[in-house]
Amino acid sequence: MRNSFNTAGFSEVVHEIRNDPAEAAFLYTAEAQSSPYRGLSARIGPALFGTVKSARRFSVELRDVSDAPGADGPLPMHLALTGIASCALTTLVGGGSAQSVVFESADMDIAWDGGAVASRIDVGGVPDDATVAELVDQVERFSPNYTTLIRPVPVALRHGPGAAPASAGTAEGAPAAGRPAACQVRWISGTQLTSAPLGPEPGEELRVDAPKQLTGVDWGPNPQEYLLMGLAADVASHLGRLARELTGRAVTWRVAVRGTEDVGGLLQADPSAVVQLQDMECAVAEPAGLSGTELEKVVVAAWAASEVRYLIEAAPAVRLTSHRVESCPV
Amino acid sequence: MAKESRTAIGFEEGRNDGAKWFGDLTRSRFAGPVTPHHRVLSREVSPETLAVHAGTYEDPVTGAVGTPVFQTSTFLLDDASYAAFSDGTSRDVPIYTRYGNPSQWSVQEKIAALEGSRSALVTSSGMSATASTIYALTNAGSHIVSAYDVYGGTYNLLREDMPSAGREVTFVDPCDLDAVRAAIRPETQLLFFETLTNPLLKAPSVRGLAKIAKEANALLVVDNTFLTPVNMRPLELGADVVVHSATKYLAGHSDLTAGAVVGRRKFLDRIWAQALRFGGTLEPLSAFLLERGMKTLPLRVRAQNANAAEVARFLAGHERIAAVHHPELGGPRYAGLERADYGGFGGMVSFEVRGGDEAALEFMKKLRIPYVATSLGGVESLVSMPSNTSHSSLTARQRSRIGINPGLVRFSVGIENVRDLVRDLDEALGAPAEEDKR
Repeated sequence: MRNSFNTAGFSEVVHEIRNDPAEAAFLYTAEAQSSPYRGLSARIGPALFGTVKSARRFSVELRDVSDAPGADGPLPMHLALTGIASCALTTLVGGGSAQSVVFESADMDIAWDGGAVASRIDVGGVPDDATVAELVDQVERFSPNYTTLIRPVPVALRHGPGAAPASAGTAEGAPAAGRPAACQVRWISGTQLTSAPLGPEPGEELRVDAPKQLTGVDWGPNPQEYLLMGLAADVASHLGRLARELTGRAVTWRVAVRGTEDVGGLLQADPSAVVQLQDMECAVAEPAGLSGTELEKVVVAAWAASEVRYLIEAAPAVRLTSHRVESCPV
Repeated sequence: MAKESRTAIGFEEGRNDGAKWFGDLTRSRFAGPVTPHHRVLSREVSPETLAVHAGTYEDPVTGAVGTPVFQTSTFLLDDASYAAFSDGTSRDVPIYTRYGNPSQWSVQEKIAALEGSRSALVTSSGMSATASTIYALTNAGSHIVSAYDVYGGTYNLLREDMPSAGREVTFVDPCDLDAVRAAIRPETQLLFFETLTNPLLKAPSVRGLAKIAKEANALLVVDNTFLTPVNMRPLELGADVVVHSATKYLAGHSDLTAGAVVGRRKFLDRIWAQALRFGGTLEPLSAFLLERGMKTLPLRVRAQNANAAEVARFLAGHERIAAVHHPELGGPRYAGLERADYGGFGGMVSFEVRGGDEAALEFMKKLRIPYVATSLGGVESLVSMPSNTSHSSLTARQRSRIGINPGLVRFSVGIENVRDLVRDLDEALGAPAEEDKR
């Protein structure tokens, strides 16, 4: 398999979708919890790939956005950036594998400074700059998470029992800049990647992979799941902080996020298919002990404060550069 | 022989060196693997004809009428082999027998044709097929629903291996669709049931189970060992994957162990990859024996259907028998049976001898025609007790809960003359003991 990437498996998915477009509908789910006792965590839920379910058990202990610098664990924004960069690199290596490019390395540094995203892809083993440019162009057009970053994608918000989704874009303007975050995502093999936080703040390396239904080996959550976990955790984190600030109450918040992908766009099995994530929805479970008015106030404020939500909904300024790494002499 | 003809149909068509993106890739496997030398017949052809002819390797060098035994562990490497490694398509080129062998491909095509599918896999045993299927189609963190009275080997796999592999299992009564539905969770990925259960011959609604699985976006895998595709084709009723202990009726002669899996190739390729990692290869001579045995499958199974029904009727009228389990006898347990889905009910009959396990053991010793041995589905009749064989790992309470009562005997009826079998049973049972009459 080229680059340990199962091109035959992806080719079969392309033709399966052409036979039955329903096979292109992918659904991802994630949940996050902000607890005054157990801290902030996020986990993935079952995913649906056309007609096949993939239920896996992955969770991440996170650092709350209100924690002091030096606290342990990645920030929610680290998860979101990991999701964007790992999707970009998987798209790059996958696309290169389809055209028989043999990679030595593929890395992406990605940073959020509170208002814009800067990223840089370094590719090793690719024979010339033109090929690198072509591969990066394909990333910008076909990577589901990268296109979610550069295009406005509405996210519906639900809270309270049986609540209808609030209209998209309820939060006006950019949130106040929080803490900058950056990570380096490194392609390892096939659909496996790692993500390490950059900068002085500590954080464990995160593993990224595809589920085995999509030719991965279940080594970790996949890129879309990281992006959704980042959104759920960011909103949950702000809910916990703002509930304390606005109501004086420390309660447990649970946030569920879902999003769909038409994989016909990534694979170009259907060139008319939308590439970026769609039908994004964030559901906040009503915690015990808050009145309806308090709940509304906290949820609206947390939604407005979420930088990951802004990243998805608002298409912030994005800068992507690329560089071809010369082969190391033996 | 032209070199390309040893690769599976579709292998060369799927190669595209000029691709620039996924959408340009041309591989679209939906069937096989079979080469141009394997006989592929329409699935509309009758089972008797498919059993004889489907999958036969028509050797272009010798003109052999039967499939040659490709008794080799490895094959010459060539450009196709290297391309297969590079593209991730090594199931479609004979490279190494653990990966695939034309002898296996022949019998796979025959089983696929009989089950009405386009792809199949043969393995070294039924449990190899079952384990590979369950591992391949579930992930750590998922949930499985199965039956508490599923075959003992399957039960042990689900109970003893799945928790440590990160899969949770809920066991229910397979005939209680409400219980099955209630067991479903968001992370339920697989429902695993038998089309006719061992040893009590419960006949769950495959259509009903398929509906529940579909609603849950889960896959329905059924073990069709007892019924065989002659009596039921579960894929047509909504099952996603069918597994077999091919050791039993498919092979039919108690001379090999083998397993089989049938379904869409998107699932079969994953199960194949799991089976080759487990090392559950069916070796070529057993593949040959299995293919040869299957040529008479419809004839054997129809004879066994009739014999078992006759035996069940005889036993139901005998004073020394407390209960008989067989769908042909009807009764409340089979009230909802969708008879149109069955071509017959196979050769199994289970019954309770009055007097408990001791009396049942004495009865079995007196039998002259059936062998007292475990296993089933061969041309010869076999008789055994679940309590001290297939279900011996269960506690007495667990056996009682699922209906395995003292004195339960499992009779695998062969193709002998049924009058001889009934006479033998009658003599072995003898006159009812005085205490049994009270």
